[in-house]
Amino acid sequence: MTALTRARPGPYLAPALLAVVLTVYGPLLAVAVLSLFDFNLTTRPPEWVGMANYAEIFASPDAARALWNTLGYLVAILPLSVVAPALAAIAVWRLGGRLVGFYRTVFFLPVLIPPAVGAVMWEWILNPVLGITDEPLRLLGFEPVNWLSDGAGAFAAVTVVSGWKVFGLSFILFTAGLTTIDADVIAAARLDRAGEWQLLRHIVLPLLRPVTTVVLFATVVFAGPWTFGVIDVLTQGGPAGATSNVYYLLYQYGFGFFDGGPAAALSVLITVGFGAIVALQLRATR
Amino acid sequence: MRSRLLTLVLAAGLVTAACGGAGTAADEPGGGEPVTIVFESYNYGTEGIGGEGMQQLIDEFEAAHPDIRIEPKGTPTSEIHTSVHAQAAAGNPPDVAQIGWSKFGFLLENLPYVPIDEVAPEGELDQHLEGMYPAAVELGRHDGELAGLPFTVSTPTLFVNADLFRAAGLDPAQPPTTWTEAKAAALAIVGTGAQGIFVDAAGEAKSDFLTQSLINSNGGALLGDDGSLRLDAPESVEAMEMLADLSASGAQPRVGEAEAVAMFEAGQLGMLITSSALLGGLATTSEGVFELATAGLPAYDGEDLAPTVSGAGIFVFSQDEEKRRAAWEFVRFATSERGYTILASTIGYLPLRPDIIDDPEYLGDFFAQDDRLLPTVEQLESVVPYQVMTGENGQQALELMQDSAIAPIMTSGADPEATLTDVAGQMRELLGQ
Repeated sequence: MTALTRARPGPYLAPALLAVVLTVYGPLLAVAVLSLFDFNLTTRPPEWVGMANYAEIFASPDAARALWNTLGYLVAILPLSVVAPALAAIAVWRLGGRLVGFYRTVFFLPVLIPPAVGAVMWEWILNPVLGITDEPLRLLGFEPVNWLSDGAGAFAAVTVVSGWKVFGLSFILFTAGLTTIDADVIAAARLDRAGEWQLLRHIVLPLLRPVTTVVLFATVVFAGPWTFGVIDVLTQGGPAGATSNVYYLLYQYGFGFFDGGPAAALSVLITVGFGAIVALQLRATR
Repeated sequence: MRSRLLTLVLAAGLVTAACGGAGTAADEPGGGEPVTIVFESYNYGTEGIGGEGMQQLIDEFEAAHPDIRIEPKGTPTSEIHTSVHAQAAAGNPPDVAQIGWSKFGFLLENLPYVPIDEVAPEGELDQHLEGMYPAAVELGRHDGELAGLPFTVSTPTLFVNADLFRAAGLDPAQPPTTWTEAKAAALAIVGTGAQGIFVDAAGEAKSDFLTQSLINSNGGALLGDDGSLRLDAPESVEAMEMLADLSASGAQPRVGEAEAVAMFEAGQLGMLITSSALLGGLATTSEGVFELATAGLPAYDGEDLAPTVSGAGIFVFSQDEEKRRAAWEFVRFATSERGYTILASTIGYLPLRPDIIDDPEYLGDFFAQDDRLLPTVEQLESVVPYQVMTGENGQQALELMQDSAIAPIMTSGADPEATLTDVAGQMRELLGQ
């Protein structure tokens, strides 16, 4: 029986393979085929249009803006999803003492708040009349900002709220990474008279590299989906598309306008585009 | 080969949905059991007056028709057309649905509605339509076919915080009748430390009823007689410049619909211009906070008022004969004298049968006690038809206009002429003009 298992793993893999084919690769193939048709699932029978849906996406100013915004979010969210959580985790780790648990809880708590609830909370915080963001700005001598109605302000708001949500997750990952650093390595460095900065620069950060790679990877892949819920509640892609990204545009095409062909074409382009980015990233970090 | 492949793909994609859409035994008509029909509504299930009013309508219908049971389903205003679409795609649309006029173009293009002419038994429809405002009936007509009946219909209303008016030295009994007066009143209110006025032209429901009402009232129209888009015509630009000016002058806070309504309910906003459908809710929330008054939509200087309607029609999707008959009974009740009485007295929708306004059996007593719905009823005389952008991309064009032109002009300081020209160009591409 053991020999048979070794020789023929197929039957054991079949259920998992079937599940993956049915839930991932089957729909992917279906979407690729559907992207060549014009359809709305109800009153209009599918009509072959070839590459016209792709041409529509490439010619769409909405799609171009959404693509740039997607890349913009990816870059803008990095300080909040990688840099700040890493620094906070190192600070808490170095601090030690009884308050470590408290800090970890405080930093992780926003992760547990449902995205829609968090976004509604921020909607009120950012309200230019009833919110609490303008008073500090006034004290600092700045003009009040209409966060959600100004293009740049709304983009910044979506970035900050999304970053606020993922900060805690990255913080926990970095904290976990720090616990794997051997205390002897630190002690040895200290014996060599390494200061705090040298310790950080030459010991801690290099040893955190695997975790940093994972967090960076997650940010690149998930920045779009992370921002989706926040966009939906806070701005619905507005004002004038300033906060939309390719995922939100896809949602609008697919479930707002039921314009199935362009939605399928955009899905294929997102999959191919992010597939390429992930492949490059894997190659770079190999 | 290609069609076979597509059939397979579609079939694979819809397997789950189809499984979920299988009917239950309770849904089966006949056998002496009551017929159950699904009614999807954006008022049903909402907190407060809207939900209570729709529940009362359902309760009274069921009490009068023991052989028909309504299975209500609540869906937000901005999502109900997409919800019906998704269910229709799975082969299981609701039997009856309340769908906004601003989604009428989408409905005509994408939803498998059954025209009311086919739903109503021979001879019953003409009899039922008697006594209804003819203009209201026309709302649901397209290419000679009656797609749906007018159900929850409203017009733009000026809601006034009478206390803030008095604090600013204004007379709430003399609310502004023109935009010039409205701006002056708003600035006077702003002078007291409160907020002035908010025109709910770019609301979350993605309805353009106020956009159209403003353009119409400035002598223009969103669509020309030949259906061509006129969003960038001088009348339209001038109409939207008024909105931009309200914001630029500080008379209008640069906030969204939800924040503005919250401000008004909290007694911090002097005037709110929105659908009369909010009357029931605002009347309740303002109790003990401030005195609520109402007026009609202000006019542009020297122009005649020409608002259009917001709200929804009631549409039938039943394919089954028995359910279709039950659906007709429900539609008939919902748009009857009693149905409109419930909708007007509880929520604030318009009584679309003029005879019931003074009739003590219907709304006579209601209006005698509370006349705050009267300005919108009186406004019915100047109402012009809602214009529908039809075609495959009509809904997309409408949302583009609301999101990329009206909202930025109101709240982001976008230049009206440049913005409307740019967005109109994009809309023409979508509309194939």
